[in-house]
Amino acid sequence: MATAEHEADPPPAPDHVAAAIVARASAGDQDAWRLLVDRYARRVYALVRARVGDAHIAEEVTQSVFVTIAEHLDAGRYREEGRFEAWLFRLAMNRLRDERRASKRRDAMLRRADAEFGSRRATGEDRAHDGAANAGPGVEALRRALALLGDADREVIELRHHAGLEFRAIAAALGEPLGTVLARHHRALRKLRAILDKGEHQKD
Amino acid sequence: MTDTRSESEFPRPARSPEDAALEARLDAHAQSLSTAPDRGFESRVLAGIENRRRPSAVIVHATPRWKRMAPMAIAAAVALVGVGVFVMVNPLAQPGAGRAGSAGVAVELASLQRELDDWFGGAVTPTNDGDAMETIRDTLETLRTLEAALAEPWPAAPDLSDLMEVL
Repeated sequence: MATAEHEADPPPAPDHVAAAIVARASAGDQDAWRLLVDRYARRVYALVRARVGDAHIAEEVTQSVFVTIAEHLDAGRYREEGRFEAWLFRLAMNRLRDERRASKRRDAMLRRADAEFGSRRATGEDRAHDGAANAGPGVEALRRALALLGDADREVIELRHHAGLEFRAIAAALGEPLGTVLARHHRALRKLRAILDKGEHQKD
Repeated sequence: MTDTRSESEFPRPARSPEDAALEARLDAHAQSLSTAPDRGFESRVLAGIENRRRPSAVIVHATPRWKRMAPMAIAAAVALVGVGVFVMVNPLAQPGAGRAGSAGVAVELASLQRELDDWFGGAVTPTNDGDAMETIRDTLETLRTLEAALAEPWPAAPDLSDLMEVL
């Protein structure tokens, strides 16, 4: 179990390589932007795609995250403290929440429109299922099981496994002590395994 | 996907073999997602950064104003303004984006907002981003033209090419 000593753990060690790249990107160096995109874009995409399902929306959100970063750098609103990665994924989580709120509004409108027009169009939920249609049965089971987790549990799992963050970076991104994050991840894994073991993800 | 995790961050809560297996499964899932985009993915993201432009589209859904228009007209409008019927949108909506730079922009923004609400039922939040506003203006202009054209009597049910010609 996590112990109290984790509560006083220091923040993630500064990533001097990332800091140098960010500094160059801030100065308009396109090669630096390419390095940042190569380093992080697919991880942001995986984090978003795990939640939204739809590939196109996941790419739009990813692009939006990077544009937001560029705007913050342009405006001098980012102070390099060696925590670029945590900042990036915090922005990504915020954009993901925005997208999910928008998706709920959208789906509600589409359902109303369907009722009025008598047609049936894909909602976000449908699109997520469509995306999973190409995946193997193991992946589909995992996706369904993840969907049954609470937001907080799912968040820590996705930051760890889909965004590929160290626990220290997750702690920095969420503003929580490392010990809390370790314990949250442990509990979330247990819950996920229980869902899979009990076959809850196979129920309608 | 680059795995940046370090073992130095341990000790972690005790993990059972089942936990470790599940973590490996999650990592494999993540790996499959991160490799899903095509090879042009990074270039598209870079282009967005370079232009400081988010992808944009406009949601179209049933409002009273839309309901007066035939489905074919909606299809024509959608084809012309380059958006998808019932396709969403995005990122015109930025939380807290009320950063109008001048009184003139603010007035136009308010005006666009009212018209967008009329057309799209409040589903779209405009931004004062120059490119996005231009897209909104063009879209609304197309819709107004189309609506006016449809108010005229048609000899027969218009097809898509007729409407395209009007516009």
